[in-house]
Amino acid sequence: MILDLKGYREERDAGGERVPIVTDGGSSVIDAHTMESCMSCLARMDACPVDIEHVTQFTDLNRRLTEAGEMDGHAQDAMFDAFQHGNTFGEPERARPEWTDELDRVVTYHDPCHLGRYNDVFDAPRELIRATGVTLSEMPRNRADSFCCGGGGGGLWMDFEDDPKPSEERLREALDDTTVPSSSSSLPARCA
Amino acid sequence: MTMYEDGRKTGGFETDTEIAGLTELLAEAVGEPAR
Repeated sequence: MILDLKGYREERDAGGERVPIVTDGGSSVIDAHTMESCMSCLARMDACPVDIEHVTQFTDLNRRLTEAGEMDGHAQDAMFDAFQHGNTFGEPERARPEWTDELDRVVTYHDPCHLGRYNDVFDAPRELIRATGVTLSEMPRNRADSFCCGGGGGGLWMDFEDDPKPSEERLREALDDTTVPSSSSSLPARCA
Repeated sequence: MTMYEDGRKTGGFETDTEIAGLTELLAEAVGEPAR
């Protein structure tokens, strides 16, 4: 290709006729299909003994094909899908999370102080959670040892000066200290 | 719920976790929209 371009420039210097540089149909210096032979990996450019920097030229040629709508049909479809749908698969954006449907959902459960420590109810909510089909993963501080969310005793209406706030510390515990099965989604939800 | 929704926002956990009430989980499991 580089030699073809060089030859064309020499012909033009000698008064030769102007033809398109790259197009589909055989009338140009470089045929559009020839562009498919280069994946722009830079290996050939690195290895070139005379330092021909062809990749930059190839990128410009590919841009011309793109502007003229003459690029490979599959690549053109992919670009159209990226433009139209935001992804190269042509799938609607709302369908993106559907692949997670078959994953186990992992939740962890926060024992509210009044339900747990005050009223000794620990098992019933856990049985209900498991009955929904999710995987329950316990935080290190659970049941009677549950960490307070900070909402009792009027805390719900007060500004905390602690840093982190109790609720933030509890969320950190849920995310950092809670074991999540490797086959499951790594985004635990919490029941309060 | 209120405390954790608050902590999720102020603690920077919004993209890492979600907060759900037990009733929401139950409603989802039986196919009813949560209110």
